[in-house]
Amino acid sequence: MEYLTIADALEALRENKTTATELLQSAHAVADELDSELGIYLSRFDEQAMAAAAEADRIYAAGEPAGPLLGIPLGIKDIISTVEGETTAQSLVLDRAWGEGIGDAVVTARLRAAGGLITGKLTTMEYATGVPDPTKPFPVPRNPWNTEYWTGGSSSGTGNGVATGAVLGGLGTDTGGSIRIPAAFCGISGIKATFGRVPKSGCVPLGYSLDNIGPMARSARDCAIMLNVLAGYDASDACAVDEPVDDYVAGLSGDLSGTRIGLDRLTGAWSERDPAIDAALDAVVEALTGLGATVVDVSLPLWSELSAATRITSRSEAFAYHAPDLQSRWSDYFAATRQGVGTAVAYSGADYVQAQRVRRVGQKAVAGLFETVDLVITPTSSVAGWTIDSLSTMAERFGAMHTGYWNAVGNPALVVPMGFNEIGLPLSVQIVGKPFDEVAVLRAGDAYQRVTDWHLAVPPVLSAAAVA
Amino acid sequence: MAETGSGHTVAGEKFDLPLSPEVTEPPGAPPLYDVDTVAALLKVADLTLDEEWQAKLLATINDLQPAVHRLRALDLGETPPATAFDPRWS
Repeated sequence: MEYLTIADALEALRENKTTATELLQSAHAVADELDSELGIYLSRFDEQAMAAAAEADRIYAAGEPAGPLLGIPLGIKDIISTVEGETTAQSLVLDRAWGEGIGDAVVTARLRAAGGLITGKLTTMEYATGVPDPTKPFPVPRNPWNTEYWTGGSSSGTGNGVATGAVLGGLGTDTGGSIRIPAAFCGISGIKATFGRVPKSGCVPLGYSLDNIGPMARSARDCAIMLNVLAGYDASDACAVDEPVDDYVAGLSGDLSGTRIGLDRLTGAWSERDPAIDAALDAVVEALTGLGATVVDVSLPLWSELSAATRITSRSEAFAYHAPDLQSRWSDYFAATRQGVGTAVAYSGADYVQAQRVRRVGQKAVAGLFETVDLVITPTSSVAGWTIDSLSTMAERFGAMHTGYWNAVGNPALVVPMGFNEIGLPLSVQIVGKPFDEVAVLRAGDAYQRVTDWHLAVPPVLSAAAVA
Repeated sequence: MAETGSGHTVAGEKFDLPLSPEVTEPPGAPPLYDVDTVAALLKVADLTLDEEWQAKLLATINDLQPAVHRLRALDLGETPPATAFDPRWS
């Protein structure tokens, strides 16, 4: 099987070089081969997806108008509702009747209407937070670049599913980095758009004022193709913002001339730092400069304060949602969920409000920074990942991930791979723009990927499989 | 990493903010919370946990308290919170 991006697959479908059925069969073959080892799926919708593939092939053959994702196998993180089956949030606690009456979430319906083949529900961390709990009856997601390592979370199955080609793209959610961290650790691309840009009704909440749904795929271009379908106001989400939606694919010019980019290496943000990160960042700067951009050093304002505001807000909002079940079903939750969400008992109401005031000040401070630059880049994380065996102490490590800051202020943030560390784990750079300027963010990511090929690298677990 | 300092102007507005100062708690300072405090907090939250879990939560809470106290120490003047009540019915 050729390992295709969404853009490649769409071109092949349009040129009659493959069929949706063949694409889906190839994706199924990867999942059949690797799912038991990697923990990609919680449930598969093979029969429904094959029927949708057959319909896609009929549309292509008849020359009827094709949706922008017609025939593309796509997975859904299992905190987002689909009509085919129940939503579990990978938890023993969530009432299995939760999705009844919802059917497809808005985002699922939009992917389906665009012709996407919904292949199934992908693994997550419980309720989109924490780390795996091997004592619970759910898969432990493993990183396809080294199966001793975690995928990152919480959109774990979307991360390793895309990285292996078990799906060509998928949905993740991001409250403090849950799209960007697994995308980074698994060597793929993913974007958290501006808060409110993508409707999140039909998704199990974690932090109401921080949650985002967004695309994860191999390339920035693939993310743009998916975001074109996903973005736009829907009244069912109280947080959705009614702003005009750009054509994100049309914005991929490959030209960064005149673009001013601020670089914050975040060298002091965390005690642990992979020694390969700075050389990789240097190469990113060189590539962006070669594309016409100007890169200057900047300091992100209120880094510690906004990162803390995200943590307090996320934990407090999650506790409000989970308190009754934590009181009655404490042991049914994953250990990390208990330890993480449970800390909210130490935050007062005043702490929560103060965090929201810090977010307001932070928005203004970040807006001031963006008066001097068009984009900001940082490493996505200080590390390339952790072994699964070491995750029991995860609570102390979230500061290594440089993503939650942007949830506090709402700006769009794309991550793309920028190389590998000395043991072959992917490294990632984060590209952030002004609110609702996803075009600039995706243009920069796509331009970078036109002159690099990190996003096309194939994980070794695929090389060892017959499907590669 | 953010600069340090006691004053900051954003979009023409002056904020007297300590910008991401180094952690101010002195080395070796005692933890801010103890088992009894956490037990009281859990009681307020109507959570009944065994001693093992109380200890786990205590450790995590103490790890995170410097960040909480950093936010509590900020003088944000008249800054309103970044949330707004929507009076529409739907």
